[in-house]
Amino acid sequence: MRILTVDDSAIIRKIIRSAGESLDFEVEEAGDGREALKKLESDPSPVDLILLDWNMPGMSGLELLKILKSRDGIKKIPVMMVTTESERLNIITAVQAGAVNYLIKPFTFEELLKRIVECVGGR
Amino acid sequence: METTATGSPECILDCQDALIETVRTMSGMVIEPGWKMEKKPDFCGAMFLQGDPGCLLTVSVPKETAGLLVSYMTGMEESELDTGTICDGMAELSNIVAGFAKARQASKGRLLFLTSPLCVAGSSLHIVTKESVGRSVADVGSPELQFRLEVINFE
Repeated sequence: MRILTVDDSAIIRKIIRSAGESLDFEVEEAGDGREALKKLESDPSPVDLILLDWNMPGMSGLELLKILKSRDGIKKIPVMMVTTESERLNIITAVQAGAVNYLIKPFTFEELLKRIVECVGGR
Repeated sequence: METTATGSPECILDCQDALIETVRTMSGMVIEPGWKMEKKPDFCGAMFLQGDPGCLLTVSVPKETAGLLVSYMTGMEESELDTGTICDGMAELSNIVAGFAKARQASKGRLLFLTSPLCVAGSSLHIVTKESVGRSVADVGSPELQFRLEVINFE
């Protein structure tokens, strides 16, 4: 299994890397939306899950999510939002745009593990 | 908690709840109101919240608190943490606190929008504003950790 974390915070990427590696997943990192797109389009290895922050400089997580869901080849990769945006409208917006799960910061390490497993379960 | 006449006592209390919950959830450590900040801050995580009125939220800590907190959040040894990593952790902490407070404020009818968090590092950091500026301050802590929260309003 291979996951991609997209977050402008190195600390959050580090926490997600620890969680992924504890599940024996390979973890790729991107610090913003453009870097994530570049990685997804240039790297032939499949990604099984994308963990995506919402508020990032340049391209927001929601913008990236919409782009991902419009592109053949990557649109089937499940995306979990990992964000401080906790209002109901934001959650609905992300789910309507194609997110399969939504984890609100702050989260415990155990909750993060549980959500990752939920997202990749059955794949 | 201290507030000026035009400060935001409700907002600082929401931020205080947010900080306590964030530190507990992300690090497992417990902090509570009523601890006086004794050391001078070395790191200040900050975020502008756009709105009407907008505000500046800051979370200031001494280096000992910053190191311990980021170490617990990431599982890294304190000796492995450089200034950049600690700054990233403090910026993310202010981001999470602001997001939590934003949702609470929205439920009370005050719409705020998150911007990009930042962190200032130095020694004996302190924020100076004009007397007329609305400002609320709250200290939160434990025997090991000291935090100073400030909300500065932009009317």
